[in-house]
Amino acid sequence: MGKKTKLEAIDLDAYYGDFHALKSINIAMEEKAVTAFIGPSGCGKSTFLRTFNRMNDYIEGFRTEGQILIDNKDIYQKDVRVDELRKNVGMVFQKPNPFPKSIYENVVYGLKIQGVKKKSVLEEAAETSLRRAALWDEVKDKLHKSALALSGGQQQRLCIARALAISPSVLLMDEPASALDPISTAKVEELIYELKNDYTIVIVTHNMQQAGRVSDYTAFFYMGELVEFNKTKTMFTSPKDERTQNYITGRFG
Amino acid sequence: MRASEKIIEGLLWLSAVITILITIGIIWVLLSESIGFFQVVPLSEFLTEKEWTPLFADKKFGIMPLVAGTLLTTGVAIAVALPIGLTIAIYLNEYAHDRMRLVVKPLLEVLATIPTVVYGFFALTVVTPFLQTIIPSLAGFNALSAGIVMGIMIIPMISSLSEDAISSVPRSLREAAYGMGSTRLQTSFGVMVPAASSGIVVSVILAISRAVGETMIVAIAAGQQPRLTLNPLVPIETITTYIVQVSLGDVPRGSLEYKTIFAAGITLFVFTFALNNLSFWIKKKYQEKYD
Amino acid sequence: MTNSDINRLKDKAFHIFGIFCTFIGLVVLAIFLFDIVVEGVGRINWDFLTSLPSRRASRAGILTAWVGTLWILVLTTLIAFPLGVSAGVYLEEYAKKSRINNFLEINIANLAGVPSIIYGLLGLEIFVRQMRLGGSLLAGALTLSLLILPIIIVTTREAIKAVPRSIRDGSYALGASKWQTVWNQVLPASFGGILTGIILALSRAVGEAAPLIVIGALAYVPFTPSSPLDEFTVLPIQIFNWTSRPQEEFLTNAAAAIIILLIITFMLNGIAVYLRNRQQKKIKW
Repeated sequence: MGKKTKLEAIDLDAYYGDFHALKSINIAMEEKAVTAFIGPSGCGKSTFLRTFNRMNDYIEGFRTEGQILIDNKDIYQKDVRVDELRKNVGMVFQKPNPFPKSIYENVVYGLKIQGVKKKSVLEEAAETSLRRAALWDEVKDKLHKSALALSGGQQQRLCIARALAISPSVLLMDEPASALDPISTAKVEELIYELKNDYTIVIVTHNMQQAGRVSDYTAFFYMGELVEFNKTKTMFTSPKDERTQNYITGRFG
Repeated sequence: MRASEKIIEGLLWLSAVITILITIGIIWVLLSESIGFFQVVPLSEFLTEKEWTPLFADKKFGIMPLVAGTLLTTGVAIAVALPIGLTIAIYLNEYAHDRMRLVVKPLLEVLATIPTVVYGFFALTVVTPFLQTIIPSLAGFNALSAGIVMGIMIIPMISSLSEDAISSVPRSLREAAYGMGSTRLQTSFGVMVPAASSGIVVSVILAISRAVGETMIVAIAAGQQPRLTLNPLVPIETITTYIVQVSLGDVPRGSLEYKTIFAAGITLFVFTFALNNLSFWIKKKYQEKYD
Repeated sequence: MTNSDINRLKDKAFHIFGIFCTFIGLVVLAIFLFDIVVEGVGRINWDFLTSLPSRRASRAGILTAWVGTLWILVLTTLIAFPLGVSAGVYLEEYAKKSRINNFLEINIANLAGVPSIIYGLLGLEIFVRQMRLGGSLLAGALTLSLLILPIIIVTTREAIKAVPRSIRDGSYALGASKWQTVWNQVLPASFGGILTGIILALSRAVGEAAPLIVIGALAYVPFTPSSPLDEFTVLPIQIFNWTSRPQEEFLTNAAAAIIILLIITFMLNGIAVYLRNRQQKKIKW
């Protein structure tokens, strides 16, 4: 591979109370590449994604063992500040979740809570992020209108812009297109392709074709285990594990 | 920044804990003042004496007349509110159109928003004179009209809580009843009401608790004469009215008369506390059954 | 008649009885409002609104009563609003499932069922005697605040609960702290619901007479209060006082004062219903 490792899990186990959700996961993901997590519902792929920005912290009874490294630093160490971590690791959710505020307020929210007050800085960041998310031309005349008035696809790109505004280096996407129509999905996929030049992207998806289209690497999860991890092309053409093969050929899922 | 987060959480916690302090405060106030009362008046006298005359020269301290007055007005109120409220609940659930429901429900809620002092005025100046044309022996102050008006006030309480209970009965049950050719009436009383019975019981218990603690209607319309009777046509006095009566007068703090209102208060508190917790208990059992 | 005919007849009969019951309450309400208006509306004029109480019914006004009610409304809001919303936020956003929090919830449900007159006894002992506030506006507002606190807490929790999880996730994912998320996202999104609850609670407080009588609010106050430590009366107490007098003219006064009290109560409820409808229309998650 040769390239630098950005995200890494070492012997990671995760539990919801008594339920063993992730079983000794080991994986190393490359910088500025797109890695797709696939697998049937409940296989742990979303749980795993959320360990990289510690979104599971708020769930009662959730705990992890092992290590999650970002840039070789264990993010579950006591001295790691979760707010700092999340500035570096942006996240986009399954359903578009714009705040019930204006488009502008959505994009600059992350900066505002960091204490950035200067209007010029905020406005510039808003424009840059919206451009990166390929949304600027559609919304530049209605920045101060409610974000809830946008279409689903636009809302999801707004959520991506919102994540980009705080300049993360990693983007986590949890089935970002599952609630969108085909045209919006295509736009989001195109965007992911663009963004991987600057960001390390991890995307959870149910959609095998989507994984094939957007990702460089694919990881297949099954019942809390990482079954197989490889270059996407290799994985789709010659899966090593029987379970992977069954899944990508649609025998269960 | 972390420190400020902790401070804020602490303040929020404190606000929540104040609610516990309120409960402690209520119990402490009622107990500490009535202990002084029970040192002079033995509990046995309080519970068995048949007269309540703390404000007269010949003082007697039997709570029974006040309890009887309270139960009498409450009984009348429930006798009015339960059949009407339950019928409304069934009617809105099984018979009425959606449009009707949308109009009627908020209108019924208006009944619950009217201040009780206003109901008292209504009982005294409209209901009692009207009832006197039917029952000439009815006194100007009486438990009957106060109870009736109180019943009207708690109709929405019973109807809306019962309706919630009935509408949360699984659809399949109702459809099964209709499927066997039941009429709406048979479905309602044969299937829905029994299935929702615990929810309906909860609504009635809460209504009783509300009626027991109601003050202004009875203070205005039911009279201030503690007497051990079940006759709704004569003036009586409820626990709450007695507290108001003493509060309006000039009773020096620390005197036995002053302490009587706390003894009356703790009696009232015990009643409503028991009723409320009974309703929680039933509700909890009921929820477990359906989950 | 066959059995099924009888059943159908019974069904029909109950249908009519249902309509009857539904409307009897409303009809009584209508008669009552009509009666009050007929009796009282003629008495309402500028003098009635701006006169001090008097022993002569024709000269008595409700100035001190409505000014007192207004004072109580404002003070109660100032005390109960921050307290109730904070407690609601704590229970909904911060509290974990523990025995003490479970106890907090049961306790609040219990407080909601305590009769208002008991709050009066609490206020009498704690605020009037121990804190030496006397029968002042402040003592009254504190007492009523405790009375409506459970209502505000419960409605705040409902309103906060309606804010979807995804909004919080979105905020946390951008690095916001818990309080930043609550303050910037959860509270603005639930504000309409919280406000509705508070207004409904206040409309309850405005109509209360019993606890204020117990803490020693007087029916006859010959001046309008100018500070929270002044003695006071409120509309419901004034109405109670006039209702308990034998002379017919005082009943007319009471009816007139009831009209004013009902206008205030209905206005508060109207605002609450309006806010709730607007909220439901505005935000579809």
